[in-house]
Amino acid sequence: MPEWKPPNVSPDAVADFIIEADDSDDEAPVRSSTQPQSLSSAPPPANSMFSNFTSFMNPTAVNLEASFQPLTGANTRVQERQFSGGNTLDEPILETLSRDLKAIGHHLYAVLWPASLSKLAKAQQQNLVGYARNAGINVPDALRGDIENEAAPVAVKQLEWDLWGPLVFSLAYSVILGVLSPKALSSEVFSLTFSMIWLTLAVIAVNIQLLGGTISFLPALSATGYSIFPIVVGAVVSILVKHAMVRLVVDAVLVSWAVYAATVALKCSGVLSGRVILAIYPVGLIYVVLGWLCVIT
Amino acid sequence: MSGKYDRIIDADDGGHFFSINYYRQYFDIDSNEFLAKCMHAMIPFTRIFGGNEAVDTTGELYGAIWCTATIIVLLFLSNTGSNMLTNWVKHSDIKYQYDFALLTKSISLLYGYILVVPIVAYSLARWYFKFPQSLTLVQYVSIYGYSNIPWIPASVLGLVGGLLGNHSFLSSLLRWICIGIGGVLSLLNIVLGIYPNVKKNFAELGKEKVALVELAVLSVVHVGFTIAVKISFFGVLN
Repeated sequence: MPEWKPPNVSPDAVADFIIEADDSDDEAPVRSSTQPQSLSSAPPPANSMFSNFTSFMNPTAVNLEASFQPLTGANTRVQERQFSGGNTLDEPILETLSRDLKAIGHHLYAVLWPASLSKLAKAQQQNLVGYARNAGINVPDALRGDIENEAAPVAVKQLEWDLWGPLVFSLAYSVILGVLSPKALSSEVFSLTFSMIWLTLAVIAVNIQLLGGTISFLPALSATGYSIFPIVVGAVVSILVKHAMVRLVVDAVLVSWAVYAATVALKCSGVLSGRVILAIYPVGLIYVVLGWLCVIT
Repeated sequence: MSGKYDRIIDADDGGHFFSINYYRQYFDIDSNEFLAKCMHAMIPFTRIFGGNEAVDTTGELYGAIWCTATIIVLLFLSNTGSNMLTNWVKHSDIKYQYDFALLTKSISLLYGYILVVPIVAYSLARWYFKFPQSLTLVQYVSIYGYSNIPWIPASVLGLVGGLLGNHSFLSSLLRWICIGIGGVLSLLNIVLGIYPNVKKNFAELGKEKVALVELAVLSVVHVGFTIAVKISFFGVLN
């Protein structure tokens, strides 16, 4: 959308016709899509004032291009912006909660079934490589192979992030480990595990950020934190199973699952393609430690 | 130093000392370069016969940080795992309890070693001997970080050692072999990384013999570090 250039209209003529921002709260949050919202600007010159005023009365009849042409010049496009509904402060609490829970559920599903994100991951990686190529940077041949047959960059929806999952999982994991260890040590084990998880996740997130890409600190923390979930399952398994060899096998499977989920999630969040291994390696390291603690507890 | 991907991420490379962009220059490495460096550190013999140019040790901290983290994790796994296996072989009823103190101790030992010794070596080179072309501090840390990679096979062998719990002689022999592999190969890495530069600089200063003295001191320090690793992870000295 082009920039709005303020026209040369005398201030007195303008003052009477500025339309206040729409703040009638008692209406339904979603309004008619044709209602112009950002018209709190200057009106047309005096001679065409009346005809335009009537057109405001009847929203469907507004021809924005024609009305604003005298002000903005012939080549400027004027568009109406769709009113996208009320803000989140106005909605009922239940709606807010259900939206957040849905987001958490979506994340969890992505961890349980990482393949659901792989398309998004591929598109994101292609965007980054295409971007690099357009900027005149030499892309390694290994990466270029997948890209050549693809068209222009795909529009990619960025994943939302939140820290509920990581919080719940790290708490659950440390509680289980604390309960499983001898009575005298349980509080120590709990606090050490909990702080170790968060410290290493923070270090890993900084590392991912330092490696570059379009990912930032909290999305990286969220992606790696949510992928702990399979390991929490492993901790639950070690409550039920006491045999170390069975635990070892189960935890090995669960840790590789977690690493795979984290890889896909990080690819989606925009880690550079040539550095995915470098970003995921420390994550794998801490997952192995967490899985191992489940085995030997 | 400008990064390969800087133009994608943000136009201004560098940045302020306290901003995260400043540190991006030390993490400017791709997966394949990293793997190549690790391979060369694992098999240092290839570098003796003139393969040194293949791995140009640029100042980069990813390897130093995460290789050391790998060693810590593996030594911890190896120690706890071999204790568990020993208990299993001996059919003892004593439940093995891991201690977190081992983890924190190993973090301070390994990271301390790859930080303190390079800082001392760099300060000597820079301000005492006044080298014309000293390695940078980051390069010293990087060399020391990668040098520890041979501890990986050593810790895997140590895990196997747990199965020999009933034969205390064989078990301790195997542990000494692990220590030998780790210590000698990592020392070789350090020497191959640092010595060419040190030698060249001392030659320019006209004090070739001091280079050998510095090498000897570094070797003695490394032997001390190896014994500390032995005490922490592979049981008491016996």
